[in-house]
Amino acid sequence: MFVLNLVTPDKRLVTDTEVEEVTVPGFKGQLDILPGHAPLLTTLATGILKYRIKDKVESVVVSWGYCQVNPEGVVVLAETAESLEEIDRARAEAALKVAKTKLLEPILQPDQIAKFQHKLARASARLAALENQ
Amino acid sequence: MANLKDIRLRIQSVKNTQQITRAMKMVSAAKLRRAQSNIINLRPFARQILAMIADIAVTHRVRHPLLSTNQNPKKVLLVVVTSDRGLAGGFNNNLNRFAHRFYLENQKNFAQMDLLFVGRKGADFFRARKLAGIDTILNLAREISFSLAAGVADRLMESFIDGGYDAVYLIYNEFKSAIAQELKCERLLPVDLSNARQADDGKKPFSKDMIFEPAPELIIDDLLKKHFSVQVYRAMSESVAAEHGARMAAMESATKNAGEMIRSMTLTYNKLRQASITTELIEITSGAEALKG
Repeated sequence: MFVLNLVTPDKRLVTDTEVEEVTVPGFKGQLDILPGHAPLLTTLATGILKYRIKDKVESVVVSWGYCQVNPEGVVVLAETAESLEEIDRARAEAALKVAKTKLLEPILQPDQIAKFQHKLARASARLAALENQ
Repeated sequence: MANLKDIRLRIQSVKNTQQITRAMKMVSAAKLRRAQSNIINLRPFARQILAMIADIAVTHRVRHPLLSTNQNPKKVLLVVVTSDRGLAGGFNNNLNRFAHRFYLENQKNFAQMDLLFVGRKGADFFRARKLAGIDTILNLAREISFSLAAGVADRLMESFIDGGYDAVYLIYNEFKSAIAQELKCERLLPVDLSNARQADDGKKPFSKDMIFEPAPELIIDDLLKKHFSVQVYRAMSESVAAEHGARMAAMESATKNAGEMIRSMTLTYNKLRQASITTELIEITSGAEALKG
């Protein structure tokens, strides 16, 4: 067991909670953290973060952030984090559609491409989280 | 001596004012609650980011333009955070006077000092003293969002990296409690890491064997930029919360003063009324006496 802290600028979603296991969308892909993990600092991709308290698994959709693993626990700093109840399915679907059509447009600035790719990733992560609950 | 009608009108007008101040107090209290929870949630996030940066910088001796300290800063930017609207007691005035003093005291030390205002009150104050800012950012209290702060932060960072400024200072009101604010002057850039370790006390030191994904240089670049925007956002949120707190306190005392005024005027009014009734009675009785003959 170790301590998980999940902090965003708007709220503290998880504060000093004892968890058995955390799965984060890391820079190099999905990353599973169990007690005794080596110290690690990674950036977070947009995706689903899961943590297990006893036998209950909670999912949170995160985008942009950091995950720091220390001997005493895990600290996740995310720019946005939403629990499943907070996700608006209709909005996520609409955002996905918009991002997809926008990305098909031939003339797009590089920063716009990055922006819509980010939106696409976020919307699909939200929907995936809803599907898998 | 004022006559009865005048006093009655004045009482009514003070009552109206009291109603307004009471309503403003309520509004500020509601806004304060939101701003307060906002800032309380933001603080741990800001602290964690700084602690992480300090950890990486200390163990890896990373060099970064945002960290490099110029021993002899020449061009300095002063960011003054005030509110757009007044009626908040000494909130803006104290801050402006503090910033002005800071400006005058440090004028000799730096070759150039520019001002940037967030909030109308600061810009007005310095304009009256013939000091123009390079820019003014308005509409803070209405919609304070992370993207707004990030936009400001990006601009500050660009001007810093391009060599325009050697240091950026931020002057704002820090939210202490609903009735207390503290004037703060912080150096935003280059990033000051000396307090970071303190903020994080009680924790074990950072492990040297830490695994980084991606490389520490890439992480710290991203982290520093994020840290900077978070700091700007935090200062703005602090200022907004402090503003609502100050306005609430000011309106509270205004409501109390109005109540006091109404009380004393009502007393005078009643005394006068009684005096006039007495005079009238005397006139009637003496008239009746005279008729009896």
